[in-house]
Amino acid sequence: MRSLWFRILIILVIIGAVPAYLATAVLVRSYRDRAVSVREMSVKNQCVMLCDLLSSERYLEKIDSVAVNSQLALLSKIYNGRIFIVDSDFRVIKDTYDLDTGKTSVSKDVVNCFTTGKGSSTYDGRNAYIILTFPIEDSETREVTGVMLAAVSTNEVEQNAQLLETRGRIVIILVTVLVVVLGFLLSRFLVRPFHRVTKAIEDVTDGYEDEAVSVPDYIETVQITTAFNQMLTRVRSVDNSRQDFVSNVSHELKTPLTSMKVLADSINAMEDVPVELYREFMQDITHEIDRENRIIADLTSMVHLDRKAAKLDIERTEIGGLLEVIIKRLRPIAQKRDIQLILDNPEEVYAEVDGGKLSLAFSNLIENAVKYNVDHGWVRTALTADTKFFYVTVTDCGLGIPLDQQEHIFERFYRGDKSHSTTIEGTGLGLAIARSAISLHRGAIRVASKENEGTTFQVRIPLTVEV
Amino acid sequence: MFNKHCRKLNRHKAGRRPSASLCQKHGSICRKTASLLILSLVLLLVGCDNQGKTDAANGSVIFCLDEDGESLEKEPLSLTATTTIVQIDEILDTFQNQVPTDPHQKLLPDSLSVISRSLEDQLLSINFSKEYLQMSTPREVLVRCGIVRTLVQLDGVQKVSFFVDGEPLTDSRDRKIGFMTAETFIENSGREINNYRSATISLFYASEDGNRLRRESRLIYYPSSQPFEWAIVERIINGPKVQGNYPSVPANTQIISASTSEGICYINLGAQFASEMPGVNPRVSIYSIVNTLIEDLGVDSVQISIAGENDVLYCGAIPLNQPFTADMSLVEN
Repeated sequence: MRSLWFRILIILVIIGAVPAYLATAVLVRSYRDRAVSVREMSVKNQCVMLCDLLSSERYLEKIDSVAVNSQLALLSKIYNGRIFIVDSDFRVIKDTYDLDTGKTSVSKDVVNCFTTGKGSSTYDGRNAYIILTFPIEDSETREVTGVMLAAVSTNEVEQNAQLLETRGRIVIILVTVLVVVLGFLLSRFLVRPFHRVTKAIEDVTDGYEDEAVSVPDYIETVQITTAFNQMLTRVRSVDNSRQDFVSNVSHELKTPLTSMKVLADSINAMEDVPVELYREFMQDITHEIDRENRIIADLTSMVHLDRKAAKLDIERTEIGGLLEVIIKRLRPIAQKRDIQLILDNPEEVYAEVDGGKLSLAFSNLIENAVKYNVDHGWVRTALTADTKFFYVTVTDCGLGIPLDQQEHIFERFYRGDKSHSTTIEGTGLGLAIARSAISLHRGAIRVASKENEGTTFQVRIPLTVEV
Repeated sequence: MFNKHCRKLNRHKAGRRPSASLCQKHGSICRKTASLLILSLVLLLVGCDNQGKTDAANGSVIFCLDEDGESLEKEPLSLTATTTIVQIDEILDTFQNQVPTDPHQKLLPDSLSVISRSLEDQLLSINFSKEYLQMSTPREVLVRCGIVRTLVQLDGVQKVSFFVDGEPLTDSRDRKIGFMTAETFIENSGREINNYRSATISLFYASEDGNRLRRESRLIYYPSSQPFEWAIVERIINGPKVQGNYPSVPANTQIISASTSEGICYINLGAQFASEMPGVNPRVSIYSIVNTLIEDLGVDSVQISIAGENDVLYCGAIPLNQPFTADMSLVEN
């Protein structure tokens, strides 16, 4: 399950239940170890004292000491154990259970005690007993004359340990249940703000809400809502600009048609109109049709370039050649007003570009330079490059652009000073198209201009378009 | 039937071929069944023959020392001899030339050898060389235990006694060791501690004149595998611990079985019980058992039988064909 609240729940359960389990296990283990060792210690102490008594009473020779026998019986009873006293012939001279007296012991523990002269202790947890051996030494010679073997049951300890474990298990179960319930409630509660974010966004999508989304509970939700709001603003502005574009477009498309209508209506309204006048009016109408076509052509280019997924047809192109072709095409238009077109490229520049689109861009720039020029003027196109970029600079000595208009010139349909719009042809899309094409190449375009002196457009494009 | 044969060590070659004359006169089906039967019987025998050997190997063990030399370890033993005396020699030989599997060690020291041995009435005597006395006490005890336990596995050997250089073996206090059985030795002292039960019981023994019963109270321990009834009767047989009380039944009485069912306790004693206990009234003998069991077990009555028979008169006077209820009038105060 990929749900956040489920994951929080699982984490909480683990955090709650695992320590409970560990704690129980550790506690029970420590209890068992401690209890066994305490028992062992106390039996050992008693037995060691008894061994001393045994050797001082010379019990190994005659087993009639009342003191020893009563001590043995008591020890046996208190610790729920059995005690053997074995003499140096390995004969069992005393068995507190009264079952194996007189037999010969071949127990490994007894043999070991006689051989090494040292006592030992063994704990068998599975079968619940402790075996202790003690050497009985002669009080004078310190020789080992017998062995006392004490077998003590640890059933009590095991039972207590079981009890603790059972109790522990109950606690674990209770804790787990509690944690699951609490965890369930808590995780749902924690996750609620995210549901609110979802709902708020859905409301905006559905159109019920128009304002920004706000869920201030967590930093995380604030981050999400802020990002969402930013996106919303951008979408709205894009929407707005599209609306503007559509209204601009319809306006621009209508204008030539209106002119055509006016011309047509007026010529129709007139009587006895000479052919020359018809011809003049028709020429004007044709002019307007041409204009309409140009607008439509530019719009189409614009739309193509605008598409975010506009695919660049990258090819290794020599930029100088590209510019030469453009200048060659524009020369006749320039020659009409005796404007000189100069191409300044000292060396060949190769770059990976979409030739078609860049041609469009440069063509627009150079055409503008010619259009907004004075008669007998000049347009200089310079091409340079460094290791990363190539630069195309288009300079003219024309009318220039006033400072306050410079930031608007790249906007669609912007036509500069309106007083010129009627005399100079244009759709107002040229620079917008150029900028689109250039930014598709991740390039940059800048303008510098002084009124009545001239304008310079500088374009910088990377030599290789990184995908 | 064949298994019983196989279990006896010195009779495992007793298998006789069964008669193949089954159903010869009847039809071919009968012949087929017959041959199948014969085949399976033969296979069983052959298998049983091997079983006999493997049983001898699986059931019989020989003892050796563990790697620390502080306790006994078992290894499988397979005998080729069939008569007891030859088997004894084979075993003694194996001991002297023992090569146990790692990390076990040879039980007998290399210097020790067997001079002679003699078997009479299932009592085996072994004479060892004088190097026997050079062994340390722990080693000697282990050697003794290992040899005795191995030899009493044979059917023809009941008890074993040791001699050194012709003299009977004695302990450090010059007491004769005498005849030994497997029960002479105990191995796992204490490790069975959780397998014992305890109870405080009343035991009735005979008075000095043998006509009354005297009560004794005792705390007893017995293995949890042993029935409580058995443990109680055993203590009656073993006699009193308090001065002035006297045994009421012969000390060599065997208990064949002891059980309780629906308020009646059934005690089956060996033939040794049939003989009268000298100096004790037969009623006292019977009721020492009956009163004890009724008081300690809380049963209503006790049914005694001798060697499975209860249609007898105990000591020619008391019929055993009816269960006995307690008779506290016999008890001395």
